Amino acid sequence: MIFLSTWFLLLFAPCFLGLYWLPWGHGVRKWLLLGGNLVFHAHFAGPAGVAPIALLGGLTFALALSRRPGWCRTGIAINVAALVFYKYVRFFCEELLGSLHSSWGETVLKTTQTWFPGDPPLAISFFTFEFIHYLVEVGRGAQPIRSPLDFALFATFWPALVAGPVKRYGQFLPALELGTRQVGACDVAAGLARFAIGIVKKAVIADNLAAWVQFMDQRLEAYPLWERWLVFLGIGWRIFMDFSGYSDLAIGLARMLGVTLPENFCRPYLAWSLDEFWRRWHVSLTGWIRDYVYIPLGGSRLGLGRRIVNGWIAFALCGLWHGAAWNFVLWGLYHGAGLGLTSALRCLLDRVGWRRKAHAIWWRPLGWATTMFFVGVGWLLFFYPLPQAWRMLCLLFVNGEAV
Amino acid sequence: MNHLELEANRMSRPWLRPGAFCAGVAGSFILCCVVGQRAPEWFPFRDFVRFHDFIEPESQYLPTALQLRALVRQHVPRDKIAVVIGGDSILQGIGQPVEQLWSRRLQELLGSDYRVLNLAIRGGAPNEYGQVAAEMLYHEGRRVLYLCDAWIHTYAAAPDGTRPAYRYIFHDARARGLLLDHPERDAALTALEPRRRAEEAFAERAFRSRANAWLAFDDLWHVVGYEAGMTVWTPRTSKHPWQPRRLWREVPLHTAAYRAGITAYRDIVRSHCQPKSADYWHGFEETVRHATPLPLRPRMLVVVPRCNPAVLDQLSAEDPQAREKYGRELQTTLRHLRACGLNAVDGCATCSAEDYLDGNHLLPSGGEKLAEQLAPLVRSLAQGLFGDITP
Repeated sequence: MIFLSTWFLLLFAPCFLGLYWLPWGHGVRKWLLLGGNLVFHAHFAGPAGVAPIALLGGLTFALALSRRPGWCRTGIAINVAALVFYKYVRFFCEELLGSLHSSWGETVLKTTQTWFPGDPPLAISFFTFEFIHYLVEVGRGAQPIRSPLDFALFATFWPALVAGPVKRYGQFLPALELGTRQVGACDVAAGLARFAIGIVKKAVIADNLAAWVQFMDQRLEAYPLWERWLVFLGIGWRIFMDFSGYSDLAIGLARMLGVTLPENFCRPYLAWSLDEFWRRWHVSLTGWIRDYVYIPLGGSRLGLGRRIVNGWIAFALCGLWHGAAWNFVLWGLYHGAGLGLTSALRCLLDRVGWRRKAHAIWWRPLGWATTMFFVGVGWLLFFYPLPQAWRMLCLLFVNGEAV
Repeated sequence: MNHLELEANRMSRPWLRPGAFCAGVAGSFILCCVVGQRAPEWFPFRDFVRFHDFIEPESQYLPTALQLRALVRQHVPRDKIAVVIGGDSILQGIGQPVEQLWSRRLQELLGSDYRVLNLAIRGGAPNEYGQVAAEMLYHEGRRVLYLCDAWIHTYAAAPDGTRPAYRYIFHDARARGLLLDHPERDAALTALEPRRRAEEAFAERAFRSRANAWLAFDDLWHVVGYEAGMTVWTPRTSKHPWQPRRLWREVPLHTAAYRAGITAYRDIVRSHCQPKSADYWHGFEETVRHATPLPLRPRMLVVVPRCNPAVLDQLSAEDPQAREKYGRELQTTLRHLRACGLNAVDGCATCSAEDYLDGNHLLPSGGEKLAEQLAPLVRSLAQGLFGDITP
């Protein structure tokens, strides 16, 4: 919990914000912000964590300046390779090569371990996603960032460094410009209030729910059905409070700097269909996956079958983005399948002419309940190995111990 | 008008007065810091007999150095001799209900010139809560004796304690300047730093202690948790997680689980029978010296408690020499403790198997015997150190 660590709360944040709020010109504020970004990143990632990101950032900036699609594609490939190398090599070696032949995985892993660090650099997923977005947009003809300072600020803006939101440079740079020019007491007050909400969500609600769920899930069969359902709900609320709490902290801190970051969670548990849920949940990540994976694969333009396959690929990647483990991949595939099913159902309703009826207000509670149950089962896959997730799911319906 | 201009426009009509809000936040923060420094004195632990589940780290409640100081100040009037008890669950009195606690019996035996305060804690080491409190009292110029226990061959893993979960109390007290000067300890901790710097939790804890000394946020939060309500859910407090900790009472011990552990304890006693090398004892003495400030050493009485004789009987079946070996290692441990300037005593020497709950914890009868064994030793130590003990 970087934003709730003592170093951050009692040393970095007061010193940095105190300096930033002094009546500087916006140029000085930008340099101050860059200094803050470097201190923040170096403190939590260490020099070994900063170096690869600096290298990757420098490369991305230089390649984008050329404005040639070929160079941009090279940059994208390098970023993808870096992400795979740092975050997924171990997983691929252990799980994929290891499942083919036990010694292969070990051999490759031992070889690679000698020249790459055990832990990936801090926030490598966020960095690479933002760099890829930038290179794609420039490759498509958008203006690149000319100022190295602006690019460095976009890449390393510390409030969004740990847990997003995944920024878009077209939105971020004007917001940064505005913030460094006219940060005021209004921003500080609104940011503080948002930060406080984030602390309550993360430290009070999510962490306590996590401890409670962890305690309950080990002996779920010992509890009555209603308590098992409570645990099921608790898992969903825990992850929502955790993720959205962290987003609130990031958005609040950015707001204290005068910078408005995009919202990341828009009441996702009020969604009455799965695709609506994904328009509300982790909006910046979902938007990125949609724009840079799903649509380039063909999106929904190539017929229902292709649409379903594209959705599966996009969501498998989305799952893998959350962590290098099979349960995340399964969770992604599960949601991909759910969205495919939703699309197919929508097609069917269109054909029989019931689409308008399905939109009727009285269908919505059913849609909402189905969506929430589907999402809740997804969280079981997200948090637990498949056999345990299945056991927990069965325990929601069977009032007994023998599952 | 783009969305940023709209946003800027919205900001010009704020939903609250931003200046007042920011000033309120800053003012409240300062007020909290000031209150945090004083709150432990205003609201000390009530009816404290010993640490229990709800006011110790296992339930996410970490009593702070200021709370500890307030507790000893409240418990020990200036004109009395403080007998602070530290160490682990054996001296904490696991196996004895509060009413029959051995330290209460010790208080009765010592009389009204003494005040016994039991700060031993489950899994604790001699240099944790008890020693911190003893150092604080000594620092304040009080007459203090420190009574703790150590196992055969072992004293403390590090100068700041053994269990990582308990080390915070040392750093908290140190950051506040409440401990005695002990350059040897400081040097040992400095030498440990490079190894520990890699541990993120330790670095965070160390910084937190220093920050807390100025801002007292931990003190305030723990006082609020004790008096008004907690914000942390733990399995131990699952029935009423938000209830203030002052309302929680000790839960009677689940003795069957302890009794079942007696077999596992045999392996520990077997290891206690194995002699150690000269190098090991050199390291042992070094640890003791690093952990214990010079002025405190003559005021300390370290009990090395004997294990349940039934365990030794079981071991004797496989090794007829086990009892002698055990006795020899116990005496060697005492000798090395004395070589460091500490008073050390063979504890529970008169206890029988019926006095034990399990392998090493004492039942009320065992606790009474321990108190009866230690009371004259404490009294003679006090006579030697303070002369005429009446004020």
